[in-house]
Amino acid sequence: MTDRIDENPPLSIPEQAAEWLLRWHCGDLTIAERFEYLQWLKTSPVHIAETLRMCRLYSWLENTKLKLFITNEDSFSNVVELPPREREAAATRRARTVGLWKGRIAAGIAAIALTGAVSFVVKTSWLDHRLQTHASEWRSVPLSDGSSIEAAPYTSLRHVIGEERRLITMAQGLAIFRVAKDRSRPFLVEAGGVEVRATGTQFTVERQPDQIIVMVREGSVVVSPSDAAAVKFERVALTEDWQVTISGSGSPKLERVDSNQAFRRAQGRLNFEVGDTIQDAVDQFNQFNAIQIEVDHATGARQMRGSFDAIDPLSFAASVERATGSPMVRESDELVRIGRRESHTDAHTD
Amino acid sequence: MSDARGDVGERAQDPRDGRLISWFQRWRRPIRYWLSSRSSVPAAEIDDLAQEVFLRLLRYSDDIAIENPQSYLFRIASNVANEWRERAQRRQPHDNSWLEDLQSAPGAEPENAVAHGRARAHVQAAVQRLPPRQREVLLLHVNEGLTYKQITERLGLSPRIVLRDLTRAYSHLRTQLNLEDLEDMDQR
Repeated sequence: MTDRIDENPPLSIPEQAAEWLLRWHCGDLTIAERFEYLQWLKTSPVHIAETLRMCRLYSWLENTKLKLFITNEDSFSNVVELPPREREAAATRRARTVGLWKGRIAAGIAAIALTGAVSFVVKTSWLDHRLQTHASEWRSVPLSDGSSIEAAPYTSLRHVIGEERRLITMAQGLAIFRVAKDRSRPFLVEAGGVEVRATGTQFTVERQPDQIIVMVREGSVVVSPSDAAAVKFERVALTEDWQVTISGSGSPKLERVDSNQAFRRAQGRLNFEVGDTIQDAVDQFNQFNAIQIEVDHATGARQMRGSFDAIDPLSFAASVERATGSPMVRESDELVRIGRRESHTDAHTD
Repeated sequence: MSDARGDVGERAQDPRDGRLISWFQRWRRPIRYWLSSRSSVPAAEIDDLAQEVFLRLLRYSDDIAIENPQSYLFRIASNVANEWRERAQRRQPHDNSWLEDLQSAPGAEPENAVAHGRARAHVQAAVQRLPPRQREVLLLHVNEGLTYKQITERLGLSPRIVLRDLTRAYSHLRTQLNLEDLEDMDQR
C-alpha cells in the first residue's frame, strides 16, 4: 500500500486486511493500488481468511451499531442520535423478516448462475490438458481414464490420455499420480529427461532444477532415460517405499523411504522428525509459498520436530520464535525473518 | 447490513456521500451474497473456505479481477459457501434443513436474545478499551457510515492518522472478540 505509514513497523495481517477494506470503502484506490491489493490477496489464503473475517466484523458492527454505543458515558454521546435511528432500525428489521424469502430465492438464483460460470471456467481449463499451480495451491485433477493427479504448489504439467498411451509431461513441481490399471495403455510421466512408466500404481514425481525424484507408494514403476535425455542412466525398477533420485551425474541414487510421509508432504502436510533442522523446514515452506522465510544460521542449525500445514508459513515461523526465542519480524508481505539479519556470506561461512 | 437501502436512500440527498453510494453499489452486493451464505460456513471453517477461494481467485487473470478485487473475492466466497451447502444437503438428503427455514425469526428465540446480549456486552467492553481517538473514529465510521477521508474532514486530522487509527481499532476488535460468538448473534 503506497499510502501506508512508513515510519511505523510493518502491519500485522489483520491490520493489512483492515486497511485494504477501509481504503476500498473510501473508493480511493488507484489502478496500481488495486493491482497491489489483488496481489496481496493472491499471496496467501491467510490474507483471504483475514479479509473475510474482517468483513464479518464490519458487517456485525454496522448491523448492531445502534445498540453498541448506547451506554457510552463519554463525550461521544452527542454524535449519536439514538431515538430516530432506533425506530428506523426496528422498522428495517421488520421489513427484513418479511423479505427473507425473497432474499433467499434471489441469492439462490445468483449462486446457481455464479456456480455455473465458475464451473465453466474450471472445465475449460481441464479441457486444455494443462495443470499449473501457484504458490500455496494444491490441486487435484481426475483424468478421463480414471487416474488422478494431485499437484503441489508451483507445479506445471500437461497430460494427454490417448488410445495407445497416457502421457504426462512435467515441466516443474511435485505431483502424486494415482494410476488406473490399464495394461493396454502405459502411463508415462516425462520429466527432464527421465521417463517413469507405470500400469496401475501410486507414485510421486518431483522435478527440481537439478534433479528428479520418483517415489513409489503402491505397485511398481520403471524409471529410465527418455528418448530426449541428455544424461543416460541404467533403468531402475522401483517398488513400494522406494525412492530414486536422478541428478546430473547420471547415477541413480536409490533409498528406502516412508512413502506415507512423502505423500503427506505432497498433499500439504509437513512433518519434521529428529534430525531435521529448522533450515530444512524453512526450505520446505519456501518451496510451496509466496511468503518466504529467512532464518539466521544459528537458529537454522537447530533441530525442530512437529507437524505443520504447508500453506501456513506464518504459524510455523511463530512456532520457531516460541521454541527458540529468536524474534520473528515480518519484513514485507512476502518476507518473514527469524533471528538476526545476516549477509549471504555470513550464512555460509559461519 | 441489509438496512443499506434505507441508508442509501437517505444519504443520496447529500452529494458528499456520492462515493459511499458508489461503494454500496460496487461492494455491498457481493458482500451480501457472501453473508447470505454465512449460516452454512461457521467462522471456524473460514480458513478452509479461504483456501478454496484462494485457488479460484488465482484462476482469474489480473486484467479481469483488477476491475474490482473485492467484488470478485466475495462472489467467489459466496459461490464456495453455496456449493458447500448444496454438497452437505446431498450428503444428508433427509436432513432438517427445511425445518430450519420454517422456524421463527432467530432473534425471537429466548436463548438467542440472551446470547446476543452477551455478545453485545463483549463488543461494548472491547470498544471501551480502545484509546479515545480510535474509539471516536470507529464510532464515526460505524454509526455514521463515514469513510476515513470523510472522518478526516470532520475531525480535522490527517488522512494517515485517521486511517491508522481505524486500522488499529478494527485489528484490536478482531483479535479481542470471538468471531464465532458474533456469528451466532448475527441473525437478521
